[in-house]
Amino acid sequence: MKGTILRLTLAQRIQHVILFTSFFILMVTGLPLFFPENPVVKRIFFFSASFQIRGIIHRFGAVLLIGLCVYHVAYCLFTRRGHEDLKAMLLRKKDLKDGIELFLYNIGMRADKPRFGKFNFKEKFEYWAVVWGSVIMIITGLMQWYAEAAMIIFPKWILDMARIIHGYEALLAFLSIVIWHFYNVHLNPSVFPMSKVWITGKISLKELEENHPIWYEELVARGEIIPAERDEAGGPVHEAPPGEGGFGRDREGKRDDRKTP
Amino acid sequence: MRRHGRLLAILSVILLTLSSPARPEDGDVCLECHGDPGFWEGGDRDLYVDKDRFGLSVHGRAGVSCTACHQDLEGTEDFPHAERLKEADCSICHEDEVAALEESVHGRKGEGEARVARCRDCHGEHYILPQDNPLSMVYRANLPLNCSKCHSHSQEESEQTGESAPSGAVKSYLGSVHGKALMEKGLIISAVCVDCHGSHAIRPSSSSESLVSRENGPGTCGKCHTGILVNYNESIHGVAHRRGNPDVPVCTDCHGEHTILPHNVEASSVFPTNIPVTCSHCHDNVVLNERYGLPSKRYETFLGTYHGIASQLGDVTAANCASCHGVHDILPSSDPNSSVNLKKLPETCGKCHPGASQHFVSSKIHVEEVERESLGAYLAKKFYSIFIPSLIGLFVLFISIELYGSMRRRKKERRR
Repeated sequence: MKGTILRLTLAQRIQHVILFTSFFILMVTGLPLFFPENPVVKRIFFFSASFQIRGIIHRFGAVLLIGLCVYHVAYCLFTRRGHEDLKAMLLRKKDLKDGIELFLYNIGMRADKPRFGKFNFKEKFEYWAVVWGSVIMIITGLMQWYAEAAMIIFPKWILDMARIIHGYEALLAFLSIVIWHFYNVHLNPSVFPMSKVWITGKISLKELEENHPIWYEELVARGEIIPAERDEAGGPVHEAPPGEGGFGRDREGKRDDRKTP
Repeated sequence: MRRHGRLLAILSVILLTLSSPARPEDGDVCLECHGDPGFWEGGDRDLYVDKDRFGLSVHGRAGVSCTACHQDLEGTEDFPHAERLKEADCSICHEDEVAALEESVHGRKGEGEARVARCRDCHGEHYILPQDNPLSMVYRANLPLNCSKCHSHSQEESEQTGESAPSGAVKSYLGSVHGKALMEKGLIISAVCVDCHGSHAIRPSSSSESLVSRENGPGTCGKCHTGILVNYNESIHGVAHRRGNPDVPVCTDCHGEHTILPHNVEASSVFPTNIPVTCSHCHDNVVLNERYGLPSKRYETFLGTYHGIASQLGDVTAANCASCHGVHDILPSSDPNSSVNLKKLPETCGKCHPGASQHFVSSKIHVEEVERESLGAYLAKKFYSIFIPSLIGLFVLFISIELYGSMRRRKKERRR
């Protein structure tokens, strides 16, 4: 019997969609400023008001991102699911070890793959990179959006620095997404052409056991998965508890009944 | 004085004509042949003279007789007369003008040679009209076309014929703010060729006597743009110009010459987004910067800012050089009246950024991202220029190793 488990709640999936929408808007309207002398970029801004319109769209993207960040912080702090996932996201010494172990495993110096929890070190790294990047971009961006206020508060060298940081941090974010994130969720042979978790929110129990064994064991221990039984073919059989909904609230409600600590 | 001279000359001709009892009304004699519209001898030349049209001309009205100009026919009794006559000598009456012409670029190049442009090339022959007559060849609105008879060659044509007449000048002019004002709006006071170049006494622009030389250029433009000339003369550029400095910009260095366009036309060299490029011709010039001890990298340090980036991408509201430094009235920052004087900066920046305080502007404005000028920006740039390649390198390394690992494992599995 095949089963799936909800890895990303609908709320989290929506956050992801908003995040990449705002990211896309901000990149398209922001990155050209890194190459103002490029003829292709010049052609994009072909009519005189285009630069101003670009600015308006960029600020719209910024509002989207800021709103998302505020919501995300609230989500992490005030919902059980968010809180739980945030705790799972916290960096531990194990993550560094996992990175090294995975490296050794790949070059053939370890027989076994390191065992990951709900979020492996790559995912944690990406998450905190986004957090860090967003904080930097929002702060330096606001300093340029509200230039007059920033002029009153900060000396000019800070504003000069903010401008440089905003540009380079954007470039860094862009390259990270295109190289690192797209590799992990698109080009990686195990998910190619695309991991569908961001749409369905679900991963198969097989995948769960293979890629997140520690989380799998946690779920088994908590009785959220009926552990492997041998079916006729001899393969492990998983069973997800019925009524696993897409909304975090459903799960929370259920767990409250079970009174998990 | 000149006018009186001309009047005197005309009067004397008339008097001479009238007081010559030996001669009949010579016009009538001439018109016996030349009054016939079919009188077409001498190959390419139309020998017909329209009596009525001549009568309307400036000379006809003044009663100037044929022989007053065609002096070698004076006293001729046998007709038909010799086939080739000497060229009419306008200097008999128009002494000053012809003298000026001889000295000008249009004068004789050498002994015995013809003038480059003769009186009749610009003024016509028998039917010359006064310059304020719209039908006159030298009426203001007709001048560009008149001059373009010679000054319209393309560069190639000029080279082929060996003529030195500047190429395409009139064509450029017709597209300029002056040309359009004149031809499209009918603004007759708009500058035409002669206003800048002079008429009879045109000198090569390299000559110090030329109205369009570097020395005289601002004064020439200032004939109409008086207020701007006053501003310019007080500016750092104007003061140096008056001292005879050959390096400072004069009007045409920023605005162009025949091609001058209004500042709100995108192709203009003084359109907001083009100003930085225009100023950079001198202020990004290593030789000039060293010669006058000017701060270097003004252009580069502008381009790196938000102002510069926005300006490069066509935002006309972004500050350009002129927004802060002024236009014709640019003063050195050390001058207390300069818009970029430390005391004036809050006001200048405040035009766009009301929050710009003394505290804000006391830092360097044109900063390079170098250690000594802007440590924060310098370090940020340095950090990212190391961090980004390292991180991306790490990504690529990790990805390749992971791909290598999965390939190796797959091979192993197959072997098993």
